[in-house]
Amino acid sequence: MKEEIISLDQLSVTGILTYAEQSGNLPAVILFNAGLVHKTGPNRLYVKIARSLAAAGYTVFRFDQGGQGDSLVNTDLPGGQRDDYVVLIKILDMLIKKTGAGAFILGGLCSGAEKAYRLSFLDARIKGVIMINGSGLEPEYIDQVYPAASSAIRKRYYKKAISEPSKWLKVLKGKSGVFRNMKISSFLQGGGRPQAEIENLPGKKVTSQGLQPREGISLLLVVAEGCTAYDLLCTVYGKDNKGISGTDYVFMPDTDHIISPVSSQLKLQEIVLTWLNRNFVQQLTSSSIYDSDQ
Amino acid sequence: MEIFHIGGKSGKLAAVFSPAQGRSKRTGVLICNPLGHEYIRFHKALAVLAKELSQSGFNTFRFDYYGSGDSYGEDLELNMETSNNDLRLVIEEMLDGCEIDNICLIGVRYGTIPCFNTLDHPDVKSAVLWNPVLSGEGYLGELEHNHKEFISGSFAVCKNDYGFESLGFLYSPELVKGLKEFSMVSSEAVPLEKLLIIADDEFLQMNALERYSCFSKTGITLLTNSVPKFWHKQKGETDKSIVPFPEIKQIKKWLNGIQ
Repeated sequence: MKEEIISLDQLSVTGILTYAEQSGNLPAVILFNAGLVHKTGPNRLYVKIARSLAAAGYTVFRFDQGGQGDSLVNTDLPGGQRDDYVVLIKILDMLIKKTGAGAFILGGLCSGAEKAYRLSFLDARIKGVIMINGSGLEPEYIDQVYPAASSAIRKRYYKKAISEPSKWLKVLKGKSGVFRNMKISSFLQGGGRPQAEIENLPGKKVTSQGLQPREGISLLLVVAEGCTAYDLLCTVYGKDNKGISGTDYVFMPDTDHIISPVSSQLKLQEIVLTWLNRNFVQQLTSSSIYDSDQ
Repeated sequence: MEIFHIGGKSGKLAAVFSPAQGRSKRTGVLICNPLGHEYIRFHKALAVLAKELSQSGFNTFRFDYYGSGDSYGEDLELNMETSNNDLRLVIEEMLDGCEIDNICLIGVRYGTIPCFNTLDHPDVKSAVLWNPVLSGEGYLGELEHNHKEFISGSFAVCKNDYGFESLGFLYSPELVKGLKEFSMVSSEAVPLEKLLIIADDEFLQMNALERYSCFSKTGITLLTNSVPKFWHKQKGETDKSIVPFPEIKQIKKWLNGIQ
């Protein structure tokens, strides 16, 4: 395994490039910050994903940008503002130069998922999007349906808690963490609204009609049971999100917004790798991973 | 600011060097991170601390232990011995690369352990223990409690027994064993000139630190956190901002004062 520290634009982009362990002309994967968490990702999840993908032949770049994590604010831009599209192009150029990659996958968790989705409309070299606990819904729509989604996740929690005495007792005592989760920032164990971070992003905004990836883009949408994105999506796609089409949708039970259980982290790595291989490696052996999760 | 890997082929550590601005002070500062979810909580705070100290003229290093953060290695490869070795490696790197006479170690939570274990280094003359772990056993108990508390109130289910797991991170059996054996208070007196301890008011009241034998030969300053248990954010704790600026100012002031 080889990793290289990469700095661009006077340290306004600082990241780790994890090189593919074997060359196979596979697309390079770019991971965007999950909320305010720096480039390791919550629970060091991005490190784990990057290394598991690199072992399978994918180069991965995870990074901090514009004052986040280890990066500095770009003082060349007025007010230190960030231009995500300009940054993306610089990253693509760097990856082409370093690895010769010709195609790219954008991915992320929470607001990182939203950013990946929106930026995917802006460059034809982007061939896939990995959205973990994102919805792709526009902020205005989320504002409208968020109260209903909040109520829905509470109901789901109570339903789940009935079968587990420890959770059940907590509900009775009014100490249920599900409420706590919804009140804290998404970089902790919660599922807050990421729209504040994505409102000014360039790229196509979707409507309540749901996810509409650009033609030629494969999209993986992974949603954890403990994430409000599930309930937000249900307002568009109906019960259990059965109406989702044109997107590879994976529901991950028994996990929270930031994928805390180690078993879920391993599962997520497997889901992402299987999806990438299915879509970007020819003559791939099929896997039943999606079937087992739905 | 420079970001780079240090260490040999097998043990590459991600390190961030914030060089002194203006006139460089003779003390270099080395920050030792917390672990697990506490590392995530403190990351921005420690980046800001490093920046503030560098602007005050201190050459400042921070780094990720092998098996944590952006460094090479996996969670289960980290233990107290590797952390101690990592810290000593970075100290040598600092002494080689910076024009400094001595080093001040700043340890936060778990980071106070390798920090404490390295206070016998001849070039370490001062230290800051921010939310120190006095007992490894107690620390493990806290990690376990917080994990159970979180799991019981969330959708998460920990299905497999991978070992000691807390809030998204695995702790190796070697690390757990080392922590169980670690006790700061029963250690011998540390040969340190100046020490600052910042902790919660409740912690300071429960532990008469200045009377502990480990600190008997040290000039010790005690300060109170502005926000208790910053490393563990819970329901309604809106005062736990991303960066605890009052503590950062206190550390900067203390360091400037001992020059």
